[in-house]
Amino acid sequence: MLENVTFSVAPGETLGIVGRNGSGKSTLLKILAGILKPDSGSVTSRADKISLMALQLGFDNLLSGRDNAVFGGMLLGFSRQEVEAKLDQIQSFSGLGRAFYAPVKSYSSGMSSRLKFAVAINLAPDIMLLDEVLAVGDMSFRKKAAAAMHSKINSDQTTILVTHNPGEVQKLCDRAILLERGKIMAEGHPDEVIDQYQSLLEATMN
Amino acid sequence: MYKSGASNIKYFALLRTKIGLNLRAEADRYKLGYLWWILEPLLFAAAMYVVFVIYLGLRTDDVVAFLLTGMIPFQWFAKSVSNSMGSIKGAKGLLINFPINPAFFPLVHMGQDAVKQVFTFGFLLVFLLLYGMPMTYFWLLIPVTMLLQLMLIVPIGCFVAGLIPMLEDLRFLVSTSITMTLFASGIFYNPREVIDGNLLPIFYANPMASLLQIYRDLFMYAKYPDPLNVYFVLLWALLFTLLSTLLLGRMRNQYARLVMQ
Repeated sequence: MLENVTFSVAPGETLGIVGRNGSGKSTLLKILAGILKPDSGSVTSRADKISLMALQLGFDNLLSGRDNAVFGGMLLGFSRQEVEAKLDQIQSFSGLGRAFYAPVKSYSSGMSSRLKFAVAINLAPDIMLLDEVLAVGDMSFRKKAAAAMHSKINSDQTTILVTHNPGEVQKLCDRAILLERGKIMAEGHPDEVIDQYQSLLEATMN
Repeated sequence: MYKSGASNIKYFALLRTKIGLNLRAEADRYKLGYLWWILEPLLFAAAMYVVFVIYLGLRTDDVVAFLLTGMIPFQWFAKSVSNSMGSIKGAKGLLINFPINPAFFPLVHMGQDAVKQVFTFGFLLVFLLLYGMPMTYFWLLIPVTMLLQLMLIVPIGCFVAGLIPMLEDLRFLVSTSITMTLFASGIFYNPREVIDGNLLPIFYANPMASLLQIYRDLFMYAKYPDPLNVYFVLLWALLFTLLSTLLLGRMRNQYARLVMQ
């Protein structure tokens, strides 16, 4: 349950959200993506297209990776033509090769994550919401994903990144928020927020 | 001002795309692919013939045509409603990741069934011609009747799809209701011959009974449908349109939470 969570994200900014399991990070992203409606309060956005990438990826298992890319892109608000124009780039970035045309039910979780990341990064929604997806895939894909994220961050991509990895927050984010039991415990520079996060984890272990 | 991501989805194009992708994926799963759209009703017709003509010895005129013109529209109704039932609950992965209107999911299923049904009705027309049924101008009203059936099926399918995530037990009620409708719609008997005339209006209050009568009046008896049959179908279509609109409208933002439980 989230309580009195208020923050803003500037265009082009990358905001990191950290917190323990059950702190409300994924719920917050779902509210920002318009999937869940808040019981009170509001979300104000000037964005036209918001993409949520989560480990539960929302693919139709009976469709191929290619068809899921088309469908997923259209769910982000792009036209079929816009998505199909980017299919070669999506296939190439995902590294799936011929598996791109196989049903997603035959994919490993890493392959599914790579596909969804490839769709989001190549279709460039106005705001990207990443829910712990940078940790999936093999080392080479993680490097590629991190490089792509760096490139996006240095451009005008607005990103909200949920992660357990403090290093990702410190490396990729302009600002960070620490959530604990649905409330904002800290907000500010990534280094400061990560210090508080680590203190919280240590206090929990003790 | 909250701006839902769902408002950016171009639903008509999305529906058309998803129906096409699903139909292709379904055909790719089977060796005979699209052929099954014709083979399935063909096998069904053969089964009808074996049971009713050979086993039961019913050699009255047009018995197979009578059965098919009842069973094929009924199967469309039964399949569409059954397929729609679990469509919202079954779309958990999409519902929790995209801000999508839940009504989309039963509509995709019903769209797929409607496309296949065009081929099934095409088979029915060819079968009837080969069977010796004379083609009349009344057959031109068959597409209109199919649209009428769609007007009935779509809100019923959306309504049951909207109910199931709230109470899974309703599956049994819906399945039983479909079975009851199978026997109460005059598929295996001619209601005008076996039901007391005073009870016929009550019988035809069942929208599927009215719909099957409309189909038979057009296919077999070369006459305009009784307006009472049309009114009953429209009445139920309107009622379920109101119910499904209210239900899905009120629950629209709740389904993501419901399916996560």
